[in-house]
Amino acid sequence: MECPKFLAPLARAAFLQACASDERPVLRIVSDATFAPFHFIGDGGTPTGFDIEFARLIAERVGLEPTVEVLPYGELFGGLSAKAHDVVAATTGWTAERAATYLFTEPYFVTCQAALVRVGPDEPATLADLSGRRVGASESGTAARAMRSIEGGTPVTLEEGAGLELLLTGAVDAIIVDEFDAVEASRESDGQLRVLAQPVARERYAFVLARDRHALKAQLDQALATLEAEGEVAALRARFGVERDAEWPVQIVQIGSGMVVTEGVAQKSGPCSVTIECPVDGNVREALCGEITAAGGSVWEVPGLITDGATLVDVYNECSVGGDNPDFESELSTIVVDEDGSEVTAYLFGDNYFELYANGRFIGRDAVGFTPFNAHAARYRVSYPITYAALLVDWEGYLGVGLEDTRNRFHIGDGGFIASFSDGAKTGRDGSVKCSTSHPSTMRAASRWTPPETLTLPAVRAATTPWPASVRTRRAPVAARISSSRAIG
Amino acid sequence: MSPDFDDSGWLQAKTYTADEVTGSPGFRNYEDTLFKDAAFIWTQNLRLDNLVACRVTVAAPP
Repeated sequence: MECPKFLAPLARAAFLQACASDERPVLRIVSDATFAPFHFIGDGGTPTGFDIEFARLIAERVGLEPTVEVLPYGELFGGLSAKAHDVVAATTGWTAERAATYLFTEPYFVTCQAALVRVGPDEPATLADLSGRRVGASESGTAARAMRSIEGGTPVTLEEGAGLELLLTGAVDAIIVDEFDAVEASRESDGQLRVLAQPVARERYAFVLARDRHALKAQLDQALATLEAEGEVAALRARFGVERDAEWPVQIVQIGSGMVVTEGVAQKSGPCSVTIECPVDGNVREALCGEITAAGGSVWEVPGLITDGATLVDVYNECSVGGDNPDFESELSTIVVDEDGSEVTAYLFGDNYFELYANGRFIGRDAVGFTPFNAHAARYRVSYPITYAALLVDWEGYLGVGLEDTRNRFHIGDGGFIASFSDGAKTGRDGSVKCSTSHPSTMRAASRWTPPETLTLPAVRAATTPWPASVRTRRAPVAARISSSRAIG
Repeated sequence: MSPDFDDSGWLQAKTYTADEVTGSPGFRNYEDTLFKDAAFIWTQNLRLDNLVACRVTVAAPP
């Protein structure tokens, strides 16, 4: 089929699909192309930008032919439901309202609304200083919401493009704008303006799909993660200049090629029930549990909602039996899940913590939440087909940000779970296990990290922390997701 | 168990080598016995994903 480059808008979407279908299936990408460098019309009238090129890369990675169409913003999302196109690539921020209607991929970029203020001894130096001050933002988009979230601030709605002049002349004391715009304005102000370090409101850009496109989302998410791991995303960031440099004033810290956002540290409510007394020296880390209140008001536990149930028989436990437990076989008793079932023995090791369920029944949990590492066995009577569910936790020393506190460093850590069953089933054996996460670390692409000097991080086990109190759930509703994962157990 | 639980959006677990996960004697002492031929699993991201739910159905003894 001959593929003309220019088509009437109404005919274009259908034609592009038919045009490309001679070769391979298409991924129909749409954008409004109005926000450089993320999405804009480039030289020769071609839509381009970080979002669009990233979407093209993802399409190629999953074996689809990308087509890109530019539409007015108001037409982007309706077309998803009508199947006129597949993916919106238009710096769409995740919100609970949008997530109720559309499906979001994993976020591909974390950004924020920032406060731009005048420089001077009496000018605001922190977000708290904006209380009682006039804070301006344009009415459209997320800036207005961010403006109204400032405690004690007097919101002033600004005409588009008028904010900078009003700020410089003293008509307002701060304006809330996208962090990139804020930093650019500050750097071009000859020292008159500065950007406050604390983000006013964070935003996570993600690609948007129709609500029922779960299979496509899974494909895109996998490609997104792979491209990031391969450095392709970092290259795109460099190409379009959506990187933060070393002097970046806003505390959304970029490390290496990846992004970091501080969702906020949890209020530490104290040791979990999986913290055990350990008489040995060595790698003993207390398993703390905490709470985070998300932006929408939901409260969720970090690192996870832990069952206060029976612990399993120790195969290896430095704290309770000094290491290997030669008597573990004799200590096993059979948990009856199904009266007429078969007896199965499981051997389990979790880095750091696991709970095991079989056919809906809680079998038991790891005795040690964090470290030292240990191994367990369980025996139960259960009928085939056996559906297993496991809740797995890579524990955190700094609850909420996903970091461990190894040797007073901020360490990303890792997870891992292995299980072997007396009937021959084993993790990893046939690739049939499926997994999902509901609480990723807020760190990305960093193996070790020393916090910037501008942040005073708390000592481990501090009751509270000075990190931003406002938090956003990465994927909502987290509590519901955890509940649903329990429901399968 | 919820037989109708929809895990179609969940990805296949990724396997990891023992060297990638742990050198702990809790695993190493049983690597060739209790855990022989098993592999460590997690999501696609061993480092970032801190709370993980996994599920699998064993239809009959393998």
